[in-house]
Amino acid sequence: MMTLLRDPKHSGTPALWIAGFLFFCLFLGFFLYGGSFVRGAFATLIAGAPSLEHASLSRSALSSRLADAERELTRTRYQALLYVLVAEENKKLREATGASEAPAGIVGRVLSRPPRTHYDTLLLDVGVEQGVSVHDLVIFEGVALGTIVTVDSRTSVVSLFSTPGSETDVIIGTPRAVAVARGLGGGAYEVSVPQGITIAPTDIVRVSATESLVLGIVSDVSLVPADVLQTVRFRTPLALADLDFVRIISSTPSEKAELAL
Amino acid sequence: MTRTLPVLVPFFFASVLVGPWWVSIGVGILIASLSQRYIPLIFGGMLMDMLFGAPIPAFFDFSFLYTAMFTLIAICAFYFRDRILE
Repeated sequence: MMTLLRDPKHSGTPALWIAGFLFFCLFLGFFLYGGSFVRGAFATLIAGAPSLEHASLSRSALSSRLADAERELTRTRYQALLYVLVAEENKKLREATGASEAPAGIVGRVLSRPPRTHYDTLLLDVGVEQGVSVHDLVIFEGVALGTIVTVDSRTSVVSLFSTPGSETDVIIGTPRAVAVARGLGGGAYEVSVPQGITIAPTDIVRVSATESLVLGIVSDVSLVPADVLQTVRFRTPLALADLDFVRIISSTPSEKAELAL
Repeated sequence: MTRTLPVLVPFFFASVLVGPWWVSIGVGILIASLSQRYIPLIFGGMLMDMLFGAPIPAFFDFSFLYTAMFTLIAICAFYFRDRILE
């Protein structure tokens, strides 16, 4: 019978344990404190990257584009003049009715959007330095998008209301009913309301907290006569993949109250 | 098989930063099935979670979805290679 003796000096187990523990500590530290650094580096990389859209165009194509852009600029200047007139009128009407000014908020550039973000999130190039804080509301042209969930010094992450499982109070149908919409991902939502509420495709669904903000447009209504409830599916009117800029409204009570008006 | 790895791993990290999620997942599965180097896969998942991660209510506010997914893919690939292929 053979007996195999192991030299205790050459046992590799403690070294393996120490290496494993160090790797675990590194892993944990990287996970907990590396996110801010990685997002900052990514923001710098993306914000500073040159646009490759026009790199392959010929000289004549570029000059044609320039002429188009100049015509567009002239048209935009004219529209800006009209906008000033409308803004003035809006201001006078607000003064007459006693309504306060709409909050300006903070404008942020969208660095990454679905499906690139892997989650239902947006990565913005504004952070604590610009006055953004957690739970701030993110909107675009009167459409509510989501709330800030992570803020770093120069970047922030927005969790969209359509994140799977996320619940948002909405106002829907005629007569107006308040219900809880559940996110399905990719800008889609689902809500169950009593069959007494009349809802049709293309109806507007608004956020209950502010009433002025749109959450989505009804795309489908499933109605089974035997059921008490009807299932309504709606989606955001924006193409999330085309979002370039968003507006961030502070979560302080004063600005929220202004938005509600 | 191993010749494809030097191309796949940089492509995987590039897709994590600028590609849609289905490309990252597809390339991740390809790396797991073609090579035995699982660490880049797990680090790729970590990078995704650190850059874009947010709590998902449908998964009980779990926000490390891709790290968990790629770790699971790596474990499955290791197990199947160990038990079936070799």
